[in-house]
Amino acid sequence: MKKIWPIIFVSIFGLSLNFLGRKHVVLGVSSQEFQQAYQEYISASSIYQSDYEKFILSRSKYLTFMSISSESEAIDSTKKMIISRIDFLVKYVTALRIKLALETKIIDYQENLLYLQLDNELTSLLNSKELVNSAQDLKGLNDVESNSGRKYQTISKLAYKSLGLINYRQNLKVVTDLRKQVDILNNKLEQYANLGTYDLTNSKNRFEQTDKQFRDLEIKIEEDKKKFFGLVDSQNDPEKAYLDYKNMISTQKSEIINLFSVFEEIIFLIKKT
Amino acid sequence: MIFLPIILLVIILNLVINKVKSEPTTSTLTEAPTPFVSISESSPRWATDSAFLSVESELKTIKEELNKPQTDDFPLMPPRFNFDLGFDQ
Repeated sequence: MKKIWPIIFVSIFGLSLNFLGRKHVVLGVSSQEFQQAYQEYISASSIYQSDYEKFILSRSKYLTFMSISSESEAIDSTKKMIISRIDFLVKYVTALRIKLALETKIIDYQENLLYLQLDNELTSLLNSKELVNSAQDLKGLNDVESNSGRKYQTISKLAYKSLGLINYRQNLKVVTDLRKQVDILNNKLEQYANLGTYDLTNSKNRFEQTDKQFRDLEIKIEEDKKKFFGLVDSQNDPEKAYLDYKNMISTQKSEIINLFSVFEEIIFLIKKT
Repeated sequence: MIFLPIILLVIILNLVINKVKSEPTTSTLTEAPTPFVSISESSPRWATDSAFLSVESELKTIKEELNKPQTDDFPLMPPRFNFDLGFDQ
């Protein structure tokens, strides 16, 4: 029986080491992986820019000469540009998915749903390459393009929602962390009061007041997020909805900073004991 | 893969335990003196309270983070595209 304790101890120690080595890993995703995905996204963007410029040149040539050879060249360069754009978007969605996973840790239903929707878009983007390759003429490519435009509206809405959720989660985390600190400080004051060095009557109300301020702020953060999601779903301009939400996020941050005076007050009380 | 380091550690620990058991015991060991920690009587309670001090430093870090100007090293705003091929001009 005695021999089993070292084994249990070492097993726990070994497992702890294993988890320590995986710092910042969420859903099998690491920050290094995100940086790599981001670099790939930037490279894909340059390739797309270059292919887009070639497409503009060949289109202008076709519109000037209207010859069979210029049409064939225009079809080829258009296909190439659309395929590059799909690759660029695939890299963008991949980087965004990783960032969403890293920053939010996909811990609630909404985050999980968004993650799955981004996953679906990724698959759909990869499949759409076949449609581009099978287009026979410029009319066929025009049809593919209007379909891509509609699809991109969905992707951009998902992207703005993801960015909004990342901002939301960051502020919520700060408030949750700060509430924990309030609890610790409250316990400290009670502990000091029990030792007979401090009279709690004055600070009790202050703590209750502070707790309410933090709860109100958490409610505000939730409500702002709901409002933002509603705006993205109902409007055709998700970018505007996101920029408005960024302003709400800044206001939330200012309110958090304002609450710091409470901590200074509590710390002062503790140091006085 | 996870269990490889654990198994290795178990083996190493068992070897160490066996070695310690086989060595002569207490008669050769001398007890190390307990280090004397001096705490000034006049220092306030909070100054030696590690929980309180860690809250203070945590709050300082959070405040610094909040006051930092917002710069995203990896911006991910959705790119803009024109989906009109423009061959109808």
